[in-house]
Amino acid sequence: MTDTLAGAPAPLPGSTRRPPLDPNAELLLEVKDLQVQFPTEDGMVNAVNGVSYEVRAGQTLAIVGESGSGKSVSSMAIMGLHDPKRTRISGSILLDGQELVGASQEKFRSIRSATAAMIFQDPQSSLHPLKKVGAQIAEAYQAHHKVSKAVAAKRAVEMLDRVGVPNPDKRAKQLPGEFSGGMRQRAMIALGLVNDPKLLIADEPTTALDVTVQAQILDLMNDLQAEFGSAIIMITHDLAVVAEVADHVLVMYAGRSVEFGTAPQVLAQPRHPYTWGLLSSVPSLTADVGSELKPIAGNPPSLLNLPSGCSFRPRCKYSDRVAGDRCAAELPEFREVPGEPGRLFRCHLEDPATIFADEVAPTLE
Amino acid sequence: MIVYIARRLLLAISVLFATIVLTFGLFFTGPAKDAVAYQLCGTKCTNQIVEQTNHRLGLDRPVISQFGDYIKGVVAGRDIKSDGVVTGHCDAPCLGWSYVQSQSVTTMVKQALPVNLAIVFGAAFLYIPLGLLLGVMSGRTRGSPLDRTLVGVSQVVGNMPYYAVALILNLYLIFQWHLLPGTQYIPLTQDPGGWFKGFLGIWLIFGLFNAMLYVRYVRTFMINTLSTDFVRTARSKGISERKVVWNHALRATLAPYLTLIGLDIGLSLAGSIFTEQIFNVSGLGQLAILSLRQSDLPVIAGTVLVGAVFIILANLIVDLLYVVVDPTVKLT
Repeated sequence: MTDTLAGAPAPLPGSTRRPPLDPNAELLLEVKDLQVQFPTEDGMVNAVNGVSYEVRAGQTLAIVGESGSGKSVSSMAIMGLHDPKRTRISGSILLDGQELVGASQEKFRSIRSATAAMIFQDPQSSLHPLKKVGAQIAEAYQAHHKVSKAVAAKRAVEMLDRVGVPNPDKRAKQLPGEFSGGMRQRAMIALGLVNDPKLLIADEPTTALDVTVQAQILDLMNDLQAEFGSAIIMITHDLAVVAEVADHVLVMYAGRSVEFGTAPQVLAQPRHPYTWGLLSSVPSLTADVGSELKPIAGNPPSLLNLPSGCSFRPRCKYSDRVAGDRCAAELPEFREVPGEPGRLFRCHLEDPATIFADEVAPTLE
Repeated sequence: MIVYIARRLLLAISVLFATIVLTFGLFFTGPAKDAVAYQLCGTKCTNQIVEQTNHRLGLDRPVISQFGDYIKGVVAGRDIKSDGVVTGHCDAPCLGWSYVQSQSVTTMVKQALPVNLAIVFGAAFLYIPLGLLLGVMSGRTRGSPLDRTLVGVSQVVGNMPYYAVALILNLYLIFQWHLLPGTQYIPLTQDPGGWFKGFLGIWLIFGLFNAMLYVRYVRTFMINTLSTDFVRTARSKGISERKVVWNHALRATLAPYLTLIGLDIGLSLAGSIFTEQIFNVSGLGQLAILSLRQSDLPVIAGTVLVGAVFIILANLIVDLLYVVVDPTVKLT
């Protein structure tokens, strides 16, 4: 999977597997300048510092970034899963026409699983260890449908069957501990889709699984998206996953969006130095045996104390190409790439396309 | 499941047998073997008198044969003989014979036990739900005034010795302010109302003290559970917060809570010396102290054995309950 990526300008198999994008698809989710902060004894943790993106019905957005870049935190804000007493959220989240920043718990309850559902990273710990798998799925269905227990149980079995769990009747009555890792994640997906939500947020759904199972789960999600028509936000740090499933890509760094575009655009013609670093750090199957990995130098900044100006500046090899001290003095706006409508990036560089083509692309094989 | 229960029962019985062997070995052989005789002759004891007494009571026979008698007594009862003449009968389960009181230890235990049963289960009836309720409320509203108050009170209570707290509450609530009726033991069969009134003060004071200790455990369990992934999943389903807390989170907290409580109940059934002394009711604890003072070894051995039985029983019940509460337990 990774070698298809490394040859960056080559056509991506991921993009050919996806149906062509419908630019007129209904706007489902609009996140604008979202900020999420956690007050702690050590100070304010600025987990998300201004993220904007949109998701259209039936399409998949991949959110990419390192650990601590705010991918999960920003998505959990959509579900209202942060403890309101310990979190400060500002900006705007418009889901299906409803403003969710500052919404009541009552409102979130009506949205969760019905309009937006979430699949978590580790299916082992994300299912209740003492409750039967079928009952856990049925409970979500009953939360939004006035049906009897028997009907909900039947729906749970149907869902398990639909996500490819063999013997769903029998499996529904088992505990999560009796499932394998891949089966558990299938059960999580069944739980996520049981109310046919318009938006499915998948938080690194394949990270805890082994590689062969990863591919099956991604295929399953692609199939189910075609069938259920849900939009998907795929949170991942794995660019191979992005190539496999994404229509659009949002790259996040230190709680900010730094690059946004369609998957082929971002993967083949990235505009932000951080995205270049991400692409360079993907290990290649065609590289010489023994060649070293190319990590991005330095560490992500402390969210307690963000650097002035551009957060990526301390790790950026190209900040000296920007006149004066602008990178340190001024936070770049999340602006449209000149000549590419709908494509956004957050960088002071004037001609990133040339730098990428001349200096970065040749190093990617 | 049945195999599991049978296996647990067999294990409990074998532990019980081992306990009997140990108790017998400790109290009726070795340096303790002449204790009964010394107790009977008191200041007049000479080696000769001790030997004669031992011979009269059959305590000079081989240990194995005496142990056989003891076991037979536990299982089927036995006659108590003096010089070969039957002087008393000890009904099964005979836990020994007090030569001082000319009474079977079982009878004495049977008289004392209802007190302990009433204290322990009456208080448990109060503190099991109360500890759970307050612990959950405290844990889910961490940092709230209610939480701070409960944590503060349980810190103070938990760091004071039980006998001090119980004594102070007894003095103020019962003697000084007459908020609660005086404590005493009136058998349930004799006067149910009096029985209830006599225990009420003990239940409230002992129960509240325990509840305060359990609040801390439950609060910690709850805080840990509420931050688990599966609780987040439950919340993401759109079910009410009440269901998230009382159904999903509590479900995972129940098993460790029951373990704690089960073992605690087993321990305190064996006798609660402080409670009995402070509230002036005599149960197994008082019986043990009295027999210690009189060096009445068979009675001491009997109370030790009864205590062991309760702890074994509590373990067994906790093991069986666990199967119900936590289905992931392997039935082996």
